[in-house]
Formats: sequence, C-alpha cells, structure tokens
Amino acid sequence: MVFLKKQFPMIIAFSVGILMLIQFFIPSKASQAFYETMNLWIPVIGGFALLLGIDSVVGTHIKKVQKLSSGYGYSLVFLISFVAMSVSWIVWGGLENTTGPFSWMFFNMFVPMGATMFSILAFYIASAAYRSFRARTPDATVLLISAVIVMLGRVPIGTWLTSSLTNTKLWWLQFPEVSGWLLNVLNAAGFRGILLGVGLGIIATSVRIIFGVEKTYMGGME
Amino acid sequence: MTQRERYILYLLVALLIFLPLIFTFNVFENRPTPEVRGVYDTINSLNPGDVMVLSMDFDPGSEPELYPMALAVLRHAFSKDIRVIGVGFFSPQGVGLGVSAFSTVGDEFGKVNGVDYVFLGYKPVLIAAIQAMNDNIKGLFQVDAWGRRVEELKLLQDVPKLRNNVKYLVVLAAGETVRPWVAFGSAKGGYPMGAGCTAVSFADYFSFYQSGQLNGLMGGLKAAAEYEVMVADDYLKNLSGILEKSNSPFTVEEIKELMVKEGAPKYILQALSKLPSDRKFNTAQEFSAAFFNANLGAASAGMNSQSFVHAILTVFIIMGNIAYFRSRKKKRAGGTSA
Amino acid sequence: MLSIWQIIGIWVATALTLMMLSFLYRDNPFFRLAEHLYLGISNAYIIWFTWDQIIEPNFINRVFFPPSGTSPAEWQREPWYIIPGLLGILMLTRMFPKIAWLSRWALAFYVGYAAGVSIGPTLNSYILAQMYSTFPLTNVSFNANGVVNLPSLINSLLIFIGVVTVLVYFFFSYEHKGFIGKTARLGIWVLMIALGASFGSTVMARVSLFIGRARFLVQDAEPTYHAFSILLSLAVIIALVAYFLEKRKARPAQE
Repeated sequence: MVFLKKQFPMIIAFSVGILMLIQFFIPSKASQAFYETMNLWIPVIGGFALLLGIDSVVGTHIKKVQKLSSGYGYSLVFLISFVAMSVSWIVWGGLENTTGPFSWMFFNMFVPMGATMFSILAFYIASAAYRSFRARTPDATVLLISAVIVMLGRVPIGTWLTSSLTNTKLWWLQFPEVSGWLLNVLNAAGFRGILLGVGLGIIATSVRIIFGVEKTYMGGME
Repeated sequence: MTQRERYILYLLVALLIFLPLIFTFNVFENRPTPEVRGVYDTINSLNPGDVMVLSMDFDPGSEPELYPMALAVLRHAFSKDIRVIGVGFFSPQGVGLGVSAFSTVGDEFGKVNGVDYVFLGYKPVLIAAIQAMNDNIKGLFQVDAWGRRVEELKLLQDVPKLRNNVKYLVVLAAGETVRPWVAFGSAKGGYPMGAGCTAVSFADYFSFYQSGQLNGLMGGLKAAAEYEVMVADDYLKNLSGILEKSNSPFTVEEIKELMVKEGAPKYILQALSKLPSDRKFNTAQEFSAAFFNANLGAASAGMNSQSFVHAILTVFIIMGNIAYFRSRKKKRAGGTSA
Repeated sequence: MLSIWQIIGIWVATALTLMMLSFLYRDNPFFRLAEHLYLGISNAYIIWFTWDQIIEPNFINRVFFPPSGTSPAEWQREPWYIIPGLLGILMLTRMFPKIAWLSRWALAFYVGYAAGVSIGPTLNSYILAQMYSTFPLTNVSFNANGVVNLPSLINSLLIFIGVVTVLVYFFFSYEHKGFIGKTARLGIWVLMIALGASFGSTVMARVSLFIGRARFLVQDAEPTYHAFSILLSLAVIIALVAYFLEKRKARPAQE
C-alpha cells in the first residue's frame, strides 16, 4: 500500500518525464506520435482538475445556510445565483445561445463585476505611490526616477510636455524617447538577468521532479 | 496618511478620470511607438487569405486594457482580409470575451464564422495546448466556442495545424502566457510572434522584444490607443480619394452614396455611420478629423484621463519627496543643535 | 435600438459596478452581496465550461457515445482516451479524504509531463536565445556605408554590462565584496531601473482598469435612460443615510 501511495507516483513521474525529455532529441515518427498524443491527453486531465475546489466552496455555503450561521444570507445569495446559472445552462444552453439567460448573466453580471473588482486597485496604487515613493536611499531614488520617466513617457501628456523638442537636436530628451530607451536597454537588461535565472530554475526543478528529489507536488497526505 | 487625506486622494483620482470622459477634447497627440508599430506593420505585410492566430489570453479582470486591443487588431486583420484563428488560453472566463470580440468585429466586416475566422475557446494546461495547436488543432478542439463541431469549420480544413500554415501569432496576455507561447509555440512552430499585455507585465517582456523573439510588443491601454490611431488612419485612407471627388459642404449621406458607387467595403460604410447623418462639414479636413475621432475606440477615449492621473501622481510624488527632505533636514538640524 | 433585456442588463451591470466600487469606502452589505453573486455565477460557469467544452467533447464523445448530430456509423471511437479520462477521474478523488491518495497518480503523470517537456524549449528560448542577443556583436546595427551605428553599439554594450552585473548580483556563492561587490552594486542599480519601470507600468495598468469601468459608466450606462446618474445619486443618498445613522449610534455610546 505504501508502494502505491509513495513510490508508484514517483515511478510514473520519472517514466513520463524521461520519455518527454528524450522525445525532444529523437526526431523519429514514433517519438513524434508519442509527443502529439501526450499533448492531447494532458488537457483532458487538466480539465477535470478545474472542478477541484468547487465542491468545497459550494459545501461551505450549504453548511452555512443549514446552520443559519452569521452571514448565511450571503451564502443564500451565492447558492441562488449558482443554481440560477446552472438551471439556465441546462434548460436554455450555455454561451452558444447568445440570447439566452446564461449569456445575459455572464455579460451583464459576471463581466462587469469581474472588471470592477480589479479596477479598485487604481485607487490603492495611487495612495501607495503617494505614501511610499520616497527617495530614502540612492537605490530608491533610481527606482523612483525610472518609475516617473515611464509613467510620463507612456501617456500622451508626456509627449505634449516635451513636444517642443521634436525636430531639434535635443529630440532624444523627449519623454517618449527617454522612456523608450530606458525600457529597451536598461530595463530589458535587468529583466533578462531575471529571466536567465528563472530559466535555470525551471530546468533545475524539472530535473529534481523527474528524479524524485522534489516531492511537494504529491501533497502532505498519508 | 490620514483617512481624510486618503478619501480626498480617491475623490481627486475619480474626478480626473470621470471628467475627461464626460467633457472630451483632443489636445494630446498619441504617437505610435516602434514596439506597437512592429505588430501593426507585420499584419500589414500579410496578404489577403493569409492566416494569423489571435490568442486572447485574458479574462474580465483585464478586459479594460486588452479587449480594446483585441478589437483593434481584429479590425486591422479583417480589413486586410486576413483569416484569423482565435483561442484563449488564460482562463475559461475569457471565452465569453472572445466570442463577443469575434462576433462584433466579424459582423462589422461581413466575415463568415467558420470560413473567415474561428474562435475555439479555452483548453487547460497551457504548454500542452500550445504544442497541440502546432500539430493537430482538431485533436485538441472538438467543438468551437459556439458548440459547433470543428469538422464543419472550413478554415480548419485549410489549416489543420499551425506549423507551416500560419503567418503570424498575436498573443494578448493578462498573465504569464507570453513566455510559454514564445518557447513552445513560436519557436517550435516556426512562425513569428507579437504580444500585447497589460501594463503590469509590459516591462518584463522587453527582453523578448530586444532579442527579436517578439517582433512587436503592445503594453496596456496606451498601446491599444496607438493601435486604434493606426487603424483609424487606415480607414481614413479609404476616404481621401472620395473627398477629392466631392464638393463641400460634405455630408455623411453624400459621401456614403459615393462610396457605395465606388464599391467601398462594408466596414467603411459602417465606419461612416458613426458620424451624425445630418451634420454638414465645411472642409475635407473637418470631415476627416470627425471621421477619424469617431472611429477611435474605447482605449483612445481613456487617454486623457490616463494622462491627467499620471501627471497628478507625479506632482504628488514630487511634493511628497520635497516634504520628506524638508522634515529630514529639520530632524538633522534639530539633532545637531541638541 | 436596444431591447428591453439589453436595457435591464445595462442597469444591472451599472448597479453591480457601483456596489463593487462601494468597497472603496469600506466593506458593506452591498459589496458582500455583489461578491457572493459573482462567486455563485463564476462557479456555475466553470462547471458548464468544464463539462460542455472539455469533458463531453474530449472524453465522453471520443470513448463512449457519438456527439449529437453524428450517426454511429460515421463516428470513430478513440478508445485510448480512456486513459486520460481515468486519470482525470482519479484527480477528482482529491475531494474524498479516504481515497485522495489516488490523485497522486494523476498529478505525477501531469507533473512528470510538464517537467520533461519544459527542459528543451526553456533551454532554447529562455536561455540560449536570450544569451545570444546579450552579446554586443549580435545586436549592433550598421549604417548604409557599413560603419557601426554608434548609438546601437553603446546600447548593446549597456545591455551586456547590465545583464552580467545582474547575474553577478544573483550569484550568492561568493561574498559580495571587492570587485564582485562593486559589480553586484551596479547590478542592483540595473534591477532598480527595471523594477522602477515595472512599477510605473503597474500604476498605468491599474489606472487603466478603472478608466475602463468609468468609460462604461459614462458612455454606455448614462445614455441608457441615465442609468449611471440615477444609480449613483441613489448610492450617495444611501451612503449619507448610513453615515448619519452610524454617527447617531456612536453619540449615545459616547454620552
């Protein structure tokens, strides 16, 4: 039983991992067929994984309503909207029915709420920029100057502020030019260094997973 | 920062965003940047009938930035009679936005779903889905986003896989999907690639743009607005010859009649209908300017607001730092005297 | 001309947008209501999508039954798809604690695939291609007469120095002192520039998101029978009433 719970999954990970690694270097038809088959199978497995978590969310809210816990009214709202959306799918169809209630709820309720949820961050980032953007150290000053150049260079008002420099010898001092240079040269260099590190990290982690050194993906279940 | 200061800042930001949207004006020029031109010029260089892929890898959380970008790219592609294969590999919730974008722009141009474009939807496990698209689209997708079988879609009969069949890929990414598309899609499939992304990750992808792995990079609402400017400019070129043939004052109805006589495409006639039909324009320039402004999209509408908020934040940051240095000087002076 | 359902839809969207935005003041029942509505719709959508777009076409219609509209004679069964189907079902055992360990087989298959398939393309695209374009001679441009373009040479040298110094900074096996320390210091500055550019872009992104919603409220909702101004006025009245009621509650407590 311990073998099936611990060693067998590691054997699966090793076999599949090594085969996928080897097929990259072997251009034969069989290798290509294996590669294409795996690419078609994995999304099916991933599709089932999308359902994980829904049972616990729905179960939590059902329990809240059953026990009439504090805030059970909101759980009722959750369950009513869940059932309404599910029933409209079953009876009238999903997004393929562009005039049905499913589509109506998606475009008039889900999309506006989803978009608004993240739009609130505009105010928080404005207050964060005002509160925390202080040139306390030389490093912070460099960060601050870079951020301000990009913020002004990436909006039309930045172009307008330095538009008098167009077609002059100092054309390169315009905000869009300076921010463009900063992004394409120094910023690219900085993120390239990070990307190289990330790439090496991906390879190292992949090798560790294949050879069973990294087991965290199996979870802590006994 | 006190609560009162915080609410005043919120109110100021809200006013600077709402007022330019209510009282619109055109003062600040939105100059296209080389990175955005990269995507535009590549699509421009494609021939009618060529196939490109548009991967709408975003969900409603990034809709304000990337949806206008998607509309602008689709309008550009369809105006050149380029066929488009659409997918959305970020989240299932993005499928609805893809359905909406392709339907809206497809109807504007009279394009046929299944022949001129397809939108296939979402599949999980990004790296597997991208690699499967390179070799066997119909193996990965059995139905499109509207639930039709892929065997019924003529475009997929012509293009069974991306490798060797597709001329360009544009990825509009809310999250981390650009990097996998570069490594597993473009590099393995052998087709060039451009990307659009939210401004959050815009700075990260410059290393790919600089290395040439991306030949164009559009970041955020400003890039969407730049693309809209270039597309509206394109539309305007259709008008210039007609304006020379007609006499001032110009009315929309007269220009429309002339365009129908000249066999103008459907999208130009639809673009003309965005102007009020009873308005008279005294000069060709006035008409052109009105036509141009009416055909900019949602992204361009927001640029004034964006400009003002950035400007005020810059002012606040400078003021905050001046106050900080002053208080630091006072503390030091107070410390020395003690 | 909008239909009645489209008009109702815009009013509902406007109301929900304002309910979400009310969180800027503080957590309140309207926001919680909208939040739970969002969660309910989202979860139901995921179930629809997973069944309709993934499980039914890619598993059920390949292994068990032909899709609707296809006759059994035309249908080609693909029995090998039982394997990913079974692995997917094993993945779902995670929901049942007693048999959750079975999901490890599916996870191991998936993770093994991801680990194996990532190595080659990562090496090619994230490392080799990036290193190639870091070296100055690979990204220098030349003038018409074959002479090196000076600005492009300076830029490519800056990129090279920038990447090397950042990599030195991230190399913690040697102590950052002396020449390595100074190089790492320069690397930190390059990183600060990159992170500053990223922060500036992030500010732009977040503001853009609200601009999108504001544009919807002003340009889509308002023309629809003044949905925005009416609902906003209602929201302000409710907020003021709630504020004064709270103030009244607080005053007796103080007294």
